[in-house]
Amino acid sequence: MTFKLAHLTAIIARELEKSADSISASTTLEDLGIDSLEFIELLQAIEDEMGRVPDHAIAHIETVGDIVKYLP
Amino acid sequence: MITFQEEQFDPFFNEAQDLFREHWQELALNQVKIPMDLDRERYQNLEKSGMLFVLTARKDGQLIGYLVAFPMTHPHYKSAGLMCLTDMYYIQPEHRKGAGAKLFIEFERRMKERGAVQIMTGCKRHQDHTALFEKLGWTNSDLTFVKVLV
Repeated sequence: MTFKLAHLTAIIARELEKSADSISASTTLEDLGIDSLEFIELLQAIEDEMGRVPDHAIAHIETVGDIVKYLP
Repeated sequence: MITFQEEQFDPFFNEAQDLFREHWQELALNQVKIPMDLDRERYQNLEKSGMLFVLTARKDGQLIGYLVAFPMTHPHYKSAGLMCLTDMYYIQPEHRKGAGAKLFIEFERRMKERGAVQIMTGCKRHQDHTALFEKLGWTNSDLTFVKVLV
């Protein structure tokens, strides 16, 4: 696991109160069980620590790995 | 994977009939007195005038949602530039895992690309998206009231 993915996983686990072990690059937003509001809140928490995801990329985020791909 | 794309009105209208019905049944007030009857010709005329925007959400090519809006200069603020008011937006319930937020982010991004100076939307009191809109940077600026006269 890369450092970036590990950091992202830790943020997601903290924000969603899930085990970090249950989250991997292939985990989908659907797997995380979040709705649109929770998705935006999660994204903002991620951006606060890891930098901005470009607006044009957000529509393409389906998995945790996608978020890693679009983070600076 | 869910994708978002602008589409022409007529093929979208033909394909979306079931989704319109689902949307209306879920959301509309006064369904007995104010039945759904989408004015196809009016939408076609708006499109011909360049005042219709259709953004669809598709999963593996299957239509799962849409956002329809009216880009135009506002009659109160003609010189301010292009504005855009949403007409209707919908994501099928089984796909509401972030797709609604993405739909609005795409709407905003595409309106910025067109040079729009302002976008407007709304929601029903019984399906209140205030928290999401505010998280996306929208301002709760107006209240809308309805009175059925029949």
